[in-house]
Amino acid sequence: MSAIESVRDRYRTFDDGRYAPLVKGVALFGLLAALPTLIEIDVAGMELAATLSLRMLILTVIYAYTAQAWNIMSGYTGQFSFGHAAFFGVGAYATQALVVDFAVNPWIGMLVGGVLAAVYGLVIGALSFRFNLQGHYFALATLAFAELLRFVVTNMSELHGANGYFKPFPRDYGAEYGLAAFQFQSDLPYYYLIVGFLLVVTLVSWVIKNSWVGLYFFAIREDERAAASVGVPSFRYKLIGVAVSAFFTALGGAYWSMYFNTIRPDTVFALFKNVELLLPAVVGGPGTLLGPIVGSFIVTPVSEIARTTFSDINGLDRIIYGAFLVAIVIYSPRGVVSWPSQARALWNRVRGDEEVSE
Amino acid sequence: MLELRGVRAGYDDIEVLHGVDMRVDEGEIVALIGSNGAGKTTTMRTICGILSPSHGEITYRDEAIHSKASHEIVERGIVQVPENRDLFTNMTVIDNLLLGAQTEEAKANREENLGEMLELFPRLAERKNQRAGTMSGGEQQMLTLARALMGEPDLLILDEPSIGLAPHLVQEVFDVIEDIHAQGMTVLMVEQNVQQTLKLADRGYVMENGRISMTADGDQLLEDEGVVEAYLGV
Repeated sequence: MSAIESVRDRYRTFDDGRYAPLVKGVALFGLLAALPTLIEIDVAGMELAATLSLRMLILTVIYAYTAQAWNIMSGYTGQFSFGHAAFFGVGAYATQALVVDFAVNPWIGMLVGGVLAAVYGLVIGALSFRFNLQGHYFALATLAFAELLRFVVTNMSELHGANGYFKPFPRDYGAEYGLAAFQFQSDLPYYYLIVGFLLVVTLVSWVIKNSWVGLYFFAIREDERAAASVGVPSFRYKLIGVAVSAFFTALGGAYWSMYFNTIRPDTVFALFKNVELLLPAVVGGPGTLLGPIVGSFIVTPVSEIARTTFSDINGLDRIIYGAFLVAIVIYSPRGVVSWPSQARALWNRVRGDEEVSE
Repeated sequence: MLELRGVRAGYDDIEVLHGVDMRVDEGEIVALIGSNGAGKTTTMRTICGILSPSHGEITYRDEAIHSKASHEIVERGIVQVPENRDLFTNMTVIDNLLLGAQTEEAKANREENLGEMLELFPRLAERKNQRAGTMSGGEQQMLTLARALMGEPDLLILDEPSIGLAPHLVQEVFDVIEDIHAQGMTVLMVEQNVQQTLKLADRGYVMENGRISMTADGDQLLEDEGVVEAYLGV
């Protein structure tokens, strides 16, 4: 990992940016850790908690986490997946099936789910990359593989069919409420747990981004044929991307299944789940480290607020939410995180023009 | 070193090469010339494993390579500089260069070679953190060449290295090729710039309609009336 950094460093004009990632990371996760307290601060009789509940924060960070996992594959290698609900659902189902039917600790179930999802990802990848599916066709193939699981699970009585699973009490699998049981009696520990998840996947993402693997990923995203012609084994690296991404997405599904009370095929494998999993990354800035997190803090609250505000007219909230997303995707395909640098460029241009006219 | 025997290849249903025979010996510069559409680029792409031949065989150091994937061919020491440059335009010069090192050996010497390339191509050193797409055509050509050299090739395949370049840059490119050949590199090149290429080349092949129509030493081809008439426009 550090090899490539040292090479780049040696040939980089010194830009004082050496510790920037660490500082930014500490600031970001410090802020995330403080958020539950911040939203309760009373400013002139108003507190943010009135509109932004802890529950919504948890939901936001869950989607930041899953978007970060999606980003490792689709943002970095450019293989746009529209079927991450498959991996999410596998994680959720593996965890619940093992804990309910076999009283296996959810942490173990989560890892089993992660491995299963990675294997499923390898199957999807091997099939579609072997037949050179790209762009829209690849996205549709991933969607088909996700929908396939929804139908299969709905019709499998061994997995409780359409009824899904109801999360058991810790004592049912011989545990007490707490970290070891993956269950808590209040929301706050859940929040810190998912922030921890986000920290892990962000670190993994950062390590990949700064490694040779990341360099190959970006080369494949830029121009796959060119990457192959310089000798990058693109098939293998695309598979690595899918497997890592699927594994972490499944852990998100496992968390989901331990936070909410029930899972059903039409919630964790839902068609719209595919969109929810990738949207924060697309809105925030695909292929960036910060994009999925920033994106989720825009997408998730807007979606929730639209739903609570316009609840009297059926479907209006979706229309407003949809219009909002269309606007972002059209006017800022590189995502919200590119705004500061674009604003700087604009500012420089404006200033440059002035200097010229003077 | 490299030998093609009766190679037929093409795209989908259209056969472009109708049985190509040629060989490149260790330490040579071999030129492949011919008019547009004769199949020169297709030949290059077939050697590099981007296309696979329907008939015939390609051997490299006595090993058949025509059914190998392109990254496996790169691992054996054949590196191509493609006509369209194939740079990663949104990545920096350094990252482009690093991506050129793909064999185990090249990876081990990656840092050393990087330093050497920046010395050999001072213009790239000036622009090392710039995105490749923002450079001029000549600089991009230099970068493509340097990236190929990062792979420590035994056989360097150049497809139109001087295409679209200003005359003084063309000379620069040819100088670099002469330099690396002097250091013992075997080179197979396709060029529109026939006169300059044949002066440099040990041997040349003339290609017509997907077949080799003539082969001789570079100097002999330069003196051949047919070739001069067809490709030098005099």
